[in-house]
Amino acid sequence: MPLIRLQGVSKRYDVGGNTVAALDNVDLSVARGQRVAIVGSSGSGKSTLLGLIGCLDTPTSGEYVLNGRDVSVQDGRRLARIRNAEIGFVFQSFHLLPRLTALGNVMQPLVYGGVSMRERRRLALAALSRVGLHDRANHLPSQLSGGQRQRVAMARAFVTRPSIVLADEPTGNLDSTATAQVMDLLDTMHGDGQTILIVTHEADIASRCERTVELADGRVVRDEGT
Amino acid sequence: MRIAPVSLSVFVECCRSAVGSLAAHRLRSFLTTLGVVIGVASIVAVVALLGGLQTAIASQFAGLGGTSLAISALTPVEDALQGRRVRLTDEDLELVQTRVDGVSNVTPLVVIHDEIHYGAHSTVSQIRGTTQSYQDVYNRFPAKGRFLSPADDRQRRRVCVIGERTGESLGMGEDPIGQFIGLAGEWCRVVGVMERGGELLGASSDHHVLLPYQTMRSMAGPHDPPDLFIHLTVADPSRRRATAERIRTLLRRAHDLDPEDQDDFRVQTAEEVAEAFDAVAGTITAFVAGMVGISLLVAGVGVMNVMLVSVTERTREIGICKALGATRHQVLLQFLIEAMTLSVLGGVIGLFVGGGIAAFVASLIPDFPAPVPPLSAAVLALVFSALVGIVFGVLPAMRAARLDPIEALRHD
Repeated sequence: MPLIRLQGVSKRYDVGGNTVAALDNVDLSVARGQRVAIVGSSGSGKSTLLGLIGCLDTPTSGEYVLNGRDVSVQDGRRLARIRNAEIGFVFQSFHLLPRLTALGNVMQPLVYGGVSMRERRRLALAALSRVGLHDRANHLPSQLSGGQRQRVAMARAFVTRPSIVLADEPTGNLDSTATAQVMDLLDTMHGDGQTILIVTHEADIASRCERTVELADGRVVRDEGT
Repeated sequence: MRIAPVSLSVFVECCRSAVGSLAAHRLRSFLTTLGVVIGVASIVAVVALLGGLQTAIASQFAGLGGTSLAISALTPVEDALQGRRVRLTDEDLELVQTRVDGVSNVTPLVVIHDEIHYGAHSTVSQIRGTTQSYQDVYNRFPAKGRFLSPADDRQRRRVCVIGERTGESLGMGEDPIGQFIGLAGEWCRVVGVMERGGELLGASSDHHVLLPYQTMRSMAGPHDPPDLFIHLTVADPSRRRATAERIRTLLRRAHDLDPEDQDDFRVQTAEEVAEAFDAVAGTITAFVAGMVGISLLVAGVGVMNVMLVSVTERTREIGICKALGATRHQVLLQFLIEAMTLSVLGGVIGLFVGGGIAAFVASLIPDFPAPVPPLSAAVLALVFSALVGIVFGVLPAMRAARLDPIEALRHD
């Protein structure tokens, strides 16, 4: 059974009386352990798709089954719990909490998951070690470089051992060195069997994924490497 | 809506995060909480000062128990308007002493203010003429020397007992006993010094001169007799009311009052005197509480305003927290705790500021009793400020909790 199965998923918005479909009848299945690049021009529906898969939003119609659970019909509180347990986000602009240290940021999802203080610390330090920032645990985001911030964000994304990691243009704000580090980390995570979806418009990043899904006007127009 | 169970660790993290975000805007937080500080400080100050007065009055009457009666003149309003004043007289005193059964410690008290001197020093002091039983009625005893004796009274001796501060202000040194002080053209030998105490009604504590009643009468000469108060103790507390009634009948007859006339005197128990004060104190407290209620309302609007700004500023942060799995309840809780921390902090600061103000005011007014910061007011102030935080924090917190995560993440 696929980890992610979208069937006939549409997302429509009401814009000034006109209904605009950001996603139009999308079918998509992702098996456990796959690394999928989602490409497409801006406005093609990539972000909407990521929001739906990440349970930040629910589809207007269609069915979304994540890890055997139909999440298209859940209420807000359950969706929050699912996000916490099943999903790790990596954003283009890092989205670290500015007043928390690197360690605090990595511990944050564990707080919402109800993990004990001691265990939070242990897991978060282990995650920071994996991204090579063990010695930066007590630095604030403002004291870290862009590449370091993104690695902290990645540690935060997989500290809860989520079913999928969703990366939205993870290297969009990084220089080439930092980009290489982040991509290497994604390789490592993928090697460990982590399911990863990467939204990108950079061809060399997409080429590192064994599967590429292209969206245009809210529809899947290309799906290679399935 | 079902309230989701919130684990302790989430609660602790919310508190930590609340304190952190308030600390990040120290000046703003301080200014916001100032309204709460002022409101709480003013109620605490007033209640503490009144509490001090009440405690002083209570301690003054403590020795009297439920068995004492006070008789004082009460000039009817019409007479007062015509410039007449009613006085109790020595005849009244004698009546009470001789014609009322089951009473003891019948103590006369006359009070005047006059200049007294010793060597080159002089000061204006309260001078009280009374008898030995004053000690039992007021529950005050000499710290040095002796009190006025019945013999002093009978023989109209020129002796006196002074308050501690009186001796100090006359520069009488460590041991004033045996020295003479001058008052009303006579010399009186000091035979005792009263212990320190916080008397209140009609008295600067520790600054007075006590003379034998008869001595004072003889010295006053033929002038307008000073006002006479009579204190007495009823042997059987259950007969207090009957005794008061008996005194009333006697005095009405002695004063030639017709049945339709009102009493021109007042027989009161110690509790009645204290209750009268309590009633006044209660009114003042209620009035101040009303003012404080309004100021806390204003303070609450300030808290709400700043919390709304804070929610807007942190929209993206809220979005991040939601993406990481924060539920609405957890976001709501965090902002509620933040609002509460803000206002309770103000409450705590206000508590100390109010206590300080009360102590300062009490120290400015001579002989004012030490303020008693009441525990109930402290608890009430904290509960109220917490309530302000909750009531005015709910709207901003709801707004934060309801944010759409995708919208919030896109927010700059």
